[in-house]
Amino acid sequence: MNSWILSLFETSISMTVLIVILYIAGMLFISKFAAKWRYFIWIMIAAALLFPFRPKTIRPLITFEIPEQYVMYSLIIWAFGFLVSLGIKLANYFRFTGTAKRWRSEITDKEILDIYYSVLSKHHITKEITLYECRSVTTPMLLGIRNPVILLPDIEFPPDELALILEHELIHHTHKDLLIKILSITAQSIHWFNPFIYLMDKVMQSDCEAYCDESILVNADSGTRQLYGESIIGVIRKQNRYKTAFSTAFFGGVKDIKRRLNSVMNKNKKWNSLAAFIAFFSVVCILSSGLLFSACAVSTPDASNTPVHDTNRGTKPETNADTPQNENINNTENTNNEKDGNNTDSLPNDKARTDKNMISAEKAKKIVLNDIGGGKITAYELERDDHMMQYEIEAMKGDTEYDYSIDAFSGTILGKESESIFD
Amino acid sequence: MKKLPNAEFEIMKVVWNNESPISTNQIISNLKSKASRKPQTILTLLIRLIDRGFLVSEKNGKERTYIPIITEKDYLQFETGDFIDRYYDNSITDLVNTLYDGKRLTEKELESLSVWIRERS
Repeated sequence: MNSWILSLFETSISMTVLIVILYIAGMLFISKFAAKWRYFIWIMIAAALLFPFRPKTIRPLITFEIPEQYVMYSLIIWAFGFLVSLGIKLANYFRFTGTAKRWRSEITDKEILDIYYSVLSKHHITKEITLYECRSVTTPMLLGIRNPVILLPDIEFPPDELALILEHELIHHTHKDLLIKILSITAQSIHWFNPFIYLMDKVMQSDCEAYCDESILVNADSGTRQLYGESIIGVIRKQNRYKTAFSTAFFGGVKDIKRRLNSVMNKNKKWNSLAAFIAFFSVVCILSSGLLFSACAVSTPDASNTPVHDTNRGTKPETNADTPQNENINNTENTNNEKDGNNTDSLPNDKARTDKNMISAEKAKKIVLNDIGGGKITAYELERDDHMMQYEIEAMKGDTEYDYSIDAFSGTILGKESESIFD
Repeated sequence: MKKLPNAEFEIMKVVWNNESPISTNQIISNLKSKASRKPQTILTLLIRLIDRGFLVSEKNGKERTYIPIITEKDYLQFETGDFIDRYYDNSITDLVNTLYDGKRLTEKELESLSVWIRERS
C-alpha cells in the first residue's frame, strides 16, 4: 500500500508536467489541431492517472524523497479525500438523475419522433435510447450508461435545429463519451489533491464537445454550421430563464463559447499529422514517466540521499534516532571515503521502498550490540546486495572494531568480522 | 415549501397538466401509474396536498374539484433551484453529456455572438 501511494504521487507529478505542456500547446494552437486528437491525448492521460504503474528503472533522473512516517499519514489523508470527493460526485449525480426522473415524460409527438428516428438511422444506431422531455433540465443531454436516455428541456426547437441537437447527443453515445467521463471523474477523485487535474478535466470536457461538434459538421456547409452555432446560442439563451439570485456572479464564459463557435464555423482543414505526432509523443511520455521521476520513502528521519553514518560519540546508540541532525553533521566528518564507495551499490529508491516487514536501523544496531556485548556503533547503512537488503554496521568495543552484516528482514547476522584498531 | 413525495408529485403533475378546476375522477383517469389508482388512496393524497397548501378544493354540486395554488413553475424552481445554481458550476453534469453546460451569458453577449456567427458564414 505504501508503494502504491508513492506511485500515485509520482504519477500525479509527472502527469501534471505533461498536462501543463499540452495545455499551453493547446492554447497556442487550439484552432489548428483536430479536436479528435486533443481528446484522444486527454483520454490517454486520464487512463495513465488511473493506473499509476509504469516501467521503472533503478535510478531515475529525478528522485523525490518522503520520510517514511509521512507516507502513512498521507495515505490516510488521501483515502479520506478520495472518499469525500467520490461521495460528493455520486451524491450530486443521483440527486440530479432522481429529479430528472420525476420531471421527465416520454415524448409522443410524432413530428419530433420522426426527426429522431431519421437521425437514429442516419448513424445506424440500434440501441434503444428513449427520448424524454424533462422540465428540470436546461439543456439537451444524454445520460445513463446501461440504459441511455436523451432529455430535452421544455423548449420548442425548430425541426432543423432539433435534428442537429439530437445528432449531437447521439454522437456522444457513439463516441462512448459517458464511459470516458467515468474514467475522467474517477481519475479526478483519485488525484483530488492535484489542482491541475481539475484544469485537465475542464479542457478535456471542452475537447469532448469540440470532437462531437467536429464529427457532426464534417463536410458541412456554412449554412449548417451557422444553424448549429445558433442552436447552441439558443440553448444558452433559454437557460437564462432559470436565473436565480446567487448565480449571477458566474458570468464570464464568453471566451469559452466563442472558442467553441469559432471552431464550429471554421471550415479549414486541421493539422492531423502533427496532432497525431503530439499524441504519439504524449503516449511515450506517459509510458516513460516512471524512468524520469520517482518518489521514495526514506526510512531514516532525515531525507538525505546518502547513507547515514552514526558516529555520535558518548551518547547511547538508542537515542540516535531522536537526533537526526547530529547524525548528519557528524556524518560529514569522517566517512567521505565510504560514501563514495557505497553510493554505487546502495539504492536509495528501491531499498527504501518502505517495507513494513523490514526491521529498523535501531533494531539492527541493538542486535549487533547484543552480539558484541556492549560497545558502541560507529557507522551503519542500509545496502542492497544481490537483491538482499542488509544493514552494514560498524561498531567499536575497547580496542576492537567490528563489521556486521544484518539481514534487513529477518534480523539474522549474515556475517561478522573483528579486528584490533592497532592492526 | 417541502419536496413532495413521489405519489403526491404524480397527482400534482396531473393537476398542472390539465385544466383546473379538475375533479377527483379526472385526476384518477389521468394518472399514469396504475398501481396508485385506488380512489381511497387518491383522496388521502389529495387531502395531504391541501394541508401542504398545494391545492384548494371546492364542492360543485355532487363533485369535488381542485385548483392548484402553487404553480408548476414555482415548484420546479424550488426543487431544482439549488442544483441549477450548481449546474452552472459544472459539478452536477459530471456524468451526463450536454449540448451546453458552461457558464451563463448575458443577453447582450448572446446577441453579439449571434451577430458574429452570421458575419462569419
